[in-house]
Amino acid sequence: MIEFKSVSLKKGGKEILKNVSLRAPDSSVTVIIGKNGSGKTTLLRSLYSSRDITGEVLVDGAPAKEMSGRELSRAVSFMPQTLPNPDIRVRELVRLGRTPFAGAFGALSEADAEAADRAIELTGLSSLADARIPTLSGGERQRAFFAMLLAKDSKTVLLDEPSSSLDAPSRAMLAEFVRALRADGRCVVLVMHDLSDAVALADTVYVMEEGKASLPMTPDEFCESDIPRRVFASSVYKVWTENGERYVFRPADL
Amino acid sequence: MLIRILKNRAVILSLAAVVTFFALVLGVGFGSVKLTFGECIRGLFFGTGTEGIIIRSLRLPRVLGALLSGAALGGAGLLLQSAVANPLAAPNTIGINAGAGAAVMLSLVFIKNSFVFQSVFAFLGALAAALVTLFIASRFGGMSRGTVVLAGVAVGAVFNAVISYLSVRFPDVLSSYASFSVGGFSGILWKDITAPSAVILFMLALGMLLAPLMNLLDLGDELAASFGVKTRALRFLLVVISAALASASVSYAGLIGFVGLIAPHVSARLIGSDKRFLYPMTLLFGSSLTVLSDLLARVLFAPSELPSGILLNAVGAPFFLALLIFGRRKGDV
Repeated sequence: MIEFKSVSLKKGGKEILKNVSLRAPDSSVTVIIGKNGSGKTTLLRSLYSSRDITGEVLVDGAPAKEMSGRELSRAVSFMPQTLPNPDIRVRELVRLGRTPFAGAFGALSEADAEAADRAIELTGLSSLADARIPTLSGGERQRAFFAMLLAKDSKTVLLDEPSSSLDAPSRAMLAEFVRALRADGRCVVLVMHDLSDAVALADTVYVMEEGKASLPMTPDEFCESDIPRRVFASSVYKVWTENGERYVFRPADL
Repeated sequence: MLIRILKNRAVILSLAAVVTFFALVLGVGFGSVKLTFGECIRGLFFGTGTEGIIIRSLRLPRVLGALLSGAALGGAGLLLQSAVANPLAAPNTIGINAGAGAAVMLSLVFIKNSFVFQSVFAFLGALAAALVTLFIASRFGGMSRGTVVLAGVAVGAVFNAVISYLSVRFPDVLSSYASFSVGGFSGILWKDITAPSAVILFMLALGMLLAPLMNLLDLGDELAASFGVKTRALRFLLVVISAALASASVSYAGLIGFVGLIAPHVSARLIGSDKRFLYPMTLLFGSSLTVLSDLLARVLFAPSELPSGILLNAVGAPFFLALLIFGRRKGDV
């Protein structure tokens, strides 16, 4: 579980986060949506710069600023929006995920190495385990980083715009991955700007506008409110698909 | 089978250590004066007669100086590449060598023969050059690969101008400006390398301790921070260590180039990018490279000799180009 309590942040005299309160419980997917520059990513990052903010970030009930880097790293996984392209092999990357559990000089135990191998298997990367990251396609690279997060095995998982650069099959895999994490009892926080994906995945939706967060909403409440039209200039349509009802968003003027 | 054994990184490191050791032996055993094996052993262990002076007082400090310099420059290159996330960073490409060189010249002109001051000056000059380069690159170029190197070339040019000016204005401070600017190990005595070798050994060990953190740093600031790495502090520390390493080498070997760029890249091809293995590999490769090129510089045109810096540039630059042109792999930057 991760909880932001009255978090504010000023940078260069500008208020980027204004008294944001947000609670993401376990066994649940919490989605933060908002336009570019609304403070979504900054909010996630504030977990790692708890000295610069006013207010408090709690991880499983404990204040983040009192946790050591290693403790925080074990408790929370974070995937940035722009993935790096380190020149290492998939297996090496995934094993880096076990660093918070490693012994002196980054040495992994047998169990750690097995956890990493399991994560590679679960993400379907076994055949690419010895491939170098820069040779992978965008979707494969994302999967390799998912595998690293899986290997890390933390209770709370923060994903910043994970679908932004993915093709359709990779997005489907992402949705599956997120649902599996929820079913496993984890706390998943997603920052997204694609409304259809966001609503399809979310248990709870928060909308961020100019550094402020809305009250929590269910996806239905969000779709029936004036927010899609007012904030995102989108019209909401309900469509029936083979998997049941789904909300679809279209730019309002088209 | 053979390939699998060779792929084992411990085996590769051991082989590299053996090669380095043999380079050391060759470096001590060969030179412009031909000594028999027996004379070498006698000179080394008993230190008697002419061979004692040649081995103990001339060849040994020179070869150890080359060894430490190669390790220092290779290590500095790798640490810098990690610090600024840029494969083109090296002591000579971001102006560190020139900064250290200019500071050494200044100390020679104004303080004369104080060894402590010279080392401190060299370090401060190197650090100043690195920080100015990185400041310019981060302020005006978003730390892009090109900007870091371009800023480094410009900063290096300024410091090189200082070196040239001082060597013209005060021609007697440096016995040979040419050999200083191209770098080499000619005439190195024990007293020249005592202080720098302590700095180099300490800083190399410190770098080794940071290797696991450098692996995380390669994942970028955001991910590294999520693993509990204090990224800004780590990057700064890496730059400081590199400056100390490079300046210690410059203080007795002059402006040796290219080792800092070549050693990390070739080593990465041989052993992969895991810094826990790549770092020691880079040190071994860098040392073998400098020791062997110094040996060639001594024996190719014996009894006269070339500054090793010339040989390193002459062999290193084409080798590096060949690596760039023919050795490209899919996904290389």
